Amino acid sequence: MKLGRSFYIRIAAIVLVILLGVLMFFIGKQHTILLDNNKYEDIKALDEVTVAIDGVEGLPIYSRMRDQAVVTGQRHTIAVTYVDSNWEEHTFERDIKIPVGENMMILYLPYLVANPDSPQEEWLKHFESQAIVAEDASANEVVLDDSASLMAF
Amino acid sequence: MSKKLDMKNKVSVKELAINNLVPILFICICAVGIPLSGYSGSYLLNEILSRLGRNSFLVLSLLIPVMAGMGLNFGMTLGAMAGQIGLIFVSDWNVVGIPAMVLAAIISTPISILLGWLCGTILNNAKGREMVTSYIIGFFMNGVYQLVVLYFMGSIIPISSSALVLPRGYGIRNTVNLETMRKSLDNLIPVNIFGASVPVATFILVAVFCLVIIWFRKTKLGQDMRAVGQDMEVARQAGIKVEKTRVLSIILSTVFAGFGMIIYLQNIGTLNTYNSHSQIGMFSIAALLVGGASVDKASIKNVFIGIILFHTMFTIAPTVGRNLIGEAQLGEYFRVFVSYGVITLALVLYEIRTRREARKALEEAE
Repeated sequence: MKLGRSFYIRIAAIVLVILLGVLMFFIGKQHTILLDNNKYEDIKALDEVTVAIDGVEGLPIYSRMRDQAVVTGQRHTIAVTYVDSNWEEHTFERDIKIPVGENMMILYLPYLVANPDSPQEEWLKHFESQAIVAEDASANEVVLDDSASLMAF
Repeated sequence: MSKKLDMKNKVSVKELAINNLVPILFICICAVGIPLSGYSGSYLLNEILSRLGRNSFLVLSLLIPVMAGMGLNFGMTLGAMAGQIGLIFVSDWNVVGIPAMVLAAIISTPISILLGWLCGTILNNAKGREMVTSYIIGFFMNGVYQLVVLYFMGSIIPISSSALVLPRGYGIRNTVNLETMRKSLDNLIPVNIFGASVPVATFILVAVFCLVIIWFRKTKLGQDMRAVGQDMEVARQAGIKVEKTRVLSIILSTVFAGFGMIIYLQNIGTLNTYNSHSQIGMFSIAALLVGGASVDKASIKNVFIGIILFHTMFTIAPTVGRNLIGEAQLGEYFRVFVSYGVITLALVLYEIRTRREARKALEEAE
């Protein structure tokens, strides 16, 4: 059976749409990064550190505090500004690439500041939230009533 | 001679009024209701612009089956379900913003094509009763949708997000939060006019869809659909594959309804998993009929007039009900009652007109 030109055009169109879908997944995927300023391994927490992700500066994170940043996409630039023991301010930048399957990661700031040239895997790690959320029992009831959406229309 | 002309004019005005009875009725309702509601002009403008943006794509998706003589496609709820499935997946994968909408549209497309093909094939076996059949197919597929979403998702179909899955471990929760994509299209190009925010990007997308519909009418497939819509037997004798053309019209309508549902829900910002789609067909069809469309004739103009009039009534009805009787719920009932009433009235008027035309043709033949 000879396959016509239109067949190949259709296949190419389907492949293009699938590729577009994959691209959308990569550029639209949202990740949460926890910015952790607690003692890590034997490295002491920093007195004060500020992290700017893609130029968006966050609030100062003091010793034994944790902040979070929500980012979209995989590649980002982080600028870390910290104060050392002599109260001198230092800033350095690092590029990070978040693995696509990760929803939440934790960035150990004291380790990063102590080892700024170390590989990303050492200071940016997978994080599984242990938070238990108290739920309203009524939220778990499934409503199949058609008229329930009328108010929203 | 002049007397004859006057008579003719009188008849034409009367006919014009009968043919546009539904829009005239709605203009009257809105004219009385707006002052009673007490809403400011800017609030009403904001509401109408927002509703125009979020509903236009859905209502426009109804035009193609009308062109192919399939009547008002109540089966558009199938497309809405497909759009919702796409949104559930992108929410689970944590994809946000415009990419989430595009990805949801891509996921919904094959589901819409499958459902549209199924619906079109069934409708081909129910020629002449397409509307009631598509209405019932909508109910049937709602059961299948509930089975998939309530029992398969989280068990057979992998859904990992605890914010989506019910605590029992399978099935999707009543509401899916779409806050991460809320108004991402509407606010893409931010413009304010008289204090009302205009969803420019959504309007551009709707305008592109309108152009596609105008272009589509001129294509070979579009011409075939019009021929099938006018007379199936003549179209068949002309070599048009009638059944295939009819199925294609339903598939296209279902796919566009899926896209429309995604646009609609990005504006709302919350997906009611088991209810959002259920009323969408009825309200979209009612809006189209309010715009002066009928079972066999609908245009882009009818879509926009219909949405403006129908949604003005929708916006003001609860407040008018509260201001007049002290019960907002009455306005709520009123707008639902009016939606069903409009569809009934339009169907009755269509039947009267068809019979009158048939009688006229018979008299002329005699």
